[in-house]
Amino acid sequence: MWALREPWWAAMPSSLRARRDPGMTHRIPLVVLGGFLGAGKTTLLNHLLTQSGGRRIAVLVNDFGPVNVDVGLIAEHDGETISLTNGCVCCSMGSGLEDALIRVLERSPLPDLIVIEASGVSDPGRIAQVGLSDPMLQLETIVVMVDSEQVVAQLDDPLLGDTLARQIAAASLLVLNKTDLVDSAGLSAVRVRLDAQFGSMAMLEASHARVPVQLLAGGADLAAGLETARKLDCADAPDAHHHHHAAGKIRGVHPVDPQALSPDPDHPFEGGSWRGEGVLDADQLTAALKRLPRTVIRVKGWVTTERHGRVIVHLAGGRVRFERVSSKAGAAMNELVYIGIRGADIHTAMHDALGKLTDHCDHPA
Amino acid sequence: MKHEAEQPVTIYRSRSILTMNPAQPRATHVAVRGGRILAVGSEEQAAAWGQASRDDRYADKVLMPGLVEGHCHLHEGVVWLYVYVGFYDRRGPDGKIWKGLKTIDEVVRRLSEVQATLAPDQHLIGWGFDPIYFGTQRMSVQDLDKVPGGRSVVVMHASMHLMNVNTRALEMAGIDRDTDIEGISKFPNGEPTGELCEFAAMFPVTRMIGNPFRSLGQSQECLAMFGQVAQAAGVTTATDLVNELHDEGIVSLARITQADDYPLRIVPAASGMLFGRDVEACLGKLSQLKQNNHDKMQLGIVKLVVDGSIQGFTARVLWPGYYNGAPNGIWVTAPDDLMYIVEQYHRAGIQLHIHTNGDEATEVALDAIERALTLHPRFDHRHTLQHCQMASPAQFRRIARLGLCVNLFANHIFYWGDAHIEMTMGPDRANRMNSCGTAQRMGIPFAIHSDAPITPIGPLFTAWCAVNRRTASGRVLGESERISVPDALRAITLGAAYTLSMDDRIGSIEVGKFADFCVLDSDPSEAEPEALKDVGIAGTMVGGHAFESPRKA
Repeated sequence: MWALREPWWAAMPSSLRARRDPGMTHRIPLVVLGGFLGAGKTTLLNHLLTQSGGRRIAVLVNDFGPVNVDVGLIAEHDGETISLTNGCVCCSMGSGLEDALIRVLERSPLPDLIVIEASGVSDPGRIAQVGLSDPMLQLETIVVMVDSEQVVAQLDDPLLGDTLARQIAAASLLVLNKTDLVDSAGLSAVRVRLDAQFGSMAMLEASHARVPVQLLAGGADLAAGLETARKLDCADAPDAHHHHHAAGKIRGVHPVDPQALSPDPDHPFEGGSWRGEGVLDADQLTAALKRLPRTVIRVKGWVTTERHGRVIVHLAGGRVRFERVSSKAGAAMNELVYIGIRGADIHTAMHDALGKLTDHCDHPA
Repeated sequence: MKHEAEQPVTIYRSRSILTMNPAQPRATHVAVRGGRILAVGSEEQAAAWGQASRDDRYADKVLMPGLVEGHCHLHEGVVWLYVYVGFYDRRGPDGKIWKGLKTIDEVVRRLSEVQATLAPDQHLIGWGFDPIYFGTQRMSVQDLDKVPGGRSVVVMHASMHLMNVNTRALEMAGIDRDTDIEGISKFPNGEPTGELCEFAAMFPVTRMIGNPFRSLGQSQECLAMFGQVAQAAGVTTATDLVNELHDEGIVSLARITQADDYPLRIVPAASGMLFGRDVEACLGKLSQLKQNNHDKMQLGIVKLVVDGSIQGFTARVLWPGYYNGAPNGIWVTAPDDLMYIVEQYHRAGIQLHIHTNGDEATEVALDAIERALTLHPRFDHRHTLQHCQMASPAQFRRIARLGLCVNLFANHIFYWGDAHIEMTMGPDRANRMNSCGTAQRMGIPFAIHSDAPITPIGPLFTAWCAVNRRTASGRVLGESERISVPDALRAITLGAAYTLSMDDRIGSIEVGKFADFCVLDSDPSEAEPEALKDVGIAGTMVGGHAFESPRKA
């Protein structure tokens, strides 16, 4: 089973790891963490706060009660915010999510990543949409944790079943936690039930809530890493900027496997890039991205559309967002990077969904 | 301070005093010493304590106990920083009646008038708008863009769960046709209409305007306005039925309310939601902050919220669910958390005020209380279900058996009754909403409330709703749930005082209680039921200090 290790991109030269390409986005990645009480959310948040990998993570929690940060790590505690020596902060949402989020977005320096803990009964999908509406935020992942031992009984609970079903339906990444408490037959029964009720979706197994931050913010990191890798790839090809010559090589889907960049053969995600020429129809692109199977967790990249011109497009939480950024002139190539669950044939899915768009658009001569 | 017996005695004469004490329902004179009622009865009885000064200011008025609003919020004081654009007339802190606006053009006109008075960099913010009174017509950017001045315009809806904004505000908040989230209404051509619903859609605008509706409640200015609005409605004790227990906020609340010229006693309810399952933390904070308590500010009760609202389709309802087929609502507190939390507070001797709207939420709250009572029997707990709008007769029987109180949302009948018939509950169940008659018949101690600022604070209007049960369109909702005028008057005085465990100090005009009076132009117990809401309020007295109603403009 895949276990907590160094992030796969840790093996990459640091110059390639810049998370914020200045030509790309300045939005703060947002992860929303949902799931019932007892699913392991707080344990996960404690891992995040103490093993942040050098990022300034701001975690918004419902109450400090269960958060158990080593006293030695606490730099300051002002009632509503606990600041850690590693640059992370933990903020209480006692006065409401709005207040807490406004406070975090007024911090200086701004956090590198914001994680909102949805309360045990709230719908993380509704909260997450703030990462698609506020110009300072970019939704990355809606992570929903479930207790493998309890989840089936909870789905059948007459009072709570509909609440849990809404949470799972909203997940862009479902974490089956506490797998150590179920045997393999039990676990496959859980998977069968989830598949029957929710269809195929991106799932990770974990015990003791051990899910590293780079998987939660999968979109931000993996996409950036893939993009860097892709650039490296193109830079190596002397004729990369000549589309005529390069087209055969660079158009279409290019699997880029984290495995190729990391010694870890068990990485649960894989990704790739897609390139296509021409001006895309924004509505068709939106529809195509929204039709992708849920095993594709996150898509982002530069495209040219008839409505926006050059624009960044995101797929996160099953929804599409366009982000206008003053663009570098030139290149009209549409370039998307994507990640999803390994082995779910996401490359074919991307090809099928996006290939049609460029078949029908104007190709530059 | 002088020795108590040396404090001056003042005897007030009144055309009639409605005491709300059944042992002595009527009087003509009341003697006050040190802010408390020294004697009540005839002139002779009031004079029995010796030397006293006479005050005839109420000689042609009627006195009743100061009215008690058992469920409202300090935000009622914040909204008056902004311009009222609701459908019904509403009285501002200065006594001015803001006429209800019957068309969207009238809303635009009022916003246009007010925008001319603002500084150039200010946002124009309105509140109280409710689309349900405009049929299928929805407000949009096309309306709000008519407001001159080029500034951002934001109109909060009465529910506070929606807003309308103009094009400028959409641009500043970064919302456009590509914003692909729920809650952003769009025209057929895909452009946003400017109507934004719920947290995610509203947040960019909320952040831009600084979230004032949540943050300013305990400021000096807003508390003053809250006091004025409540005072003009005859209220002398009001709750703040979710207080987040910020140290500075409580200290300032204690300081401001303590002044003799502050016209209210305020009862903040600690937010149980703030602490979740960490009940110990809440108890600790509460016991620390209770040191600020005084006669006019009393911390102690704790508020819990189980579900959402009926008109927002977020209340948890039992079979057969919402009449229009909407999916069941949301839990704000999970049922198993509620079991645990209720038990902890109950065992600690705390009085709980539990928000339940739908009958499924009420059922779960009853289960939690029954369990807590079984494990830790406790007399006279007075746990109160707040709103409790859809309780069935069987649930009321459980409420009675478990010794609970209810505070029913009678104003809902008028403001949303028609929507409840047509959309949320259907014509049958709508009749049992806020069943004051059932509560009365079963001997359940009950109050009725406004939930201001959701509806205007005004206990006489709330009593009128419980007595007449008329919806805005004039239909009677559940004839047999109507209560008598005297029963409704009791609900807004002693009934509400009982739910706050303050009936030993307020709620009736009796010896030893605070000298808190509502001063009326005529006797409400003699008013025609239809006219109860129109009885004039001339002022109040709080702890022996007189407050005149602001003159109506």
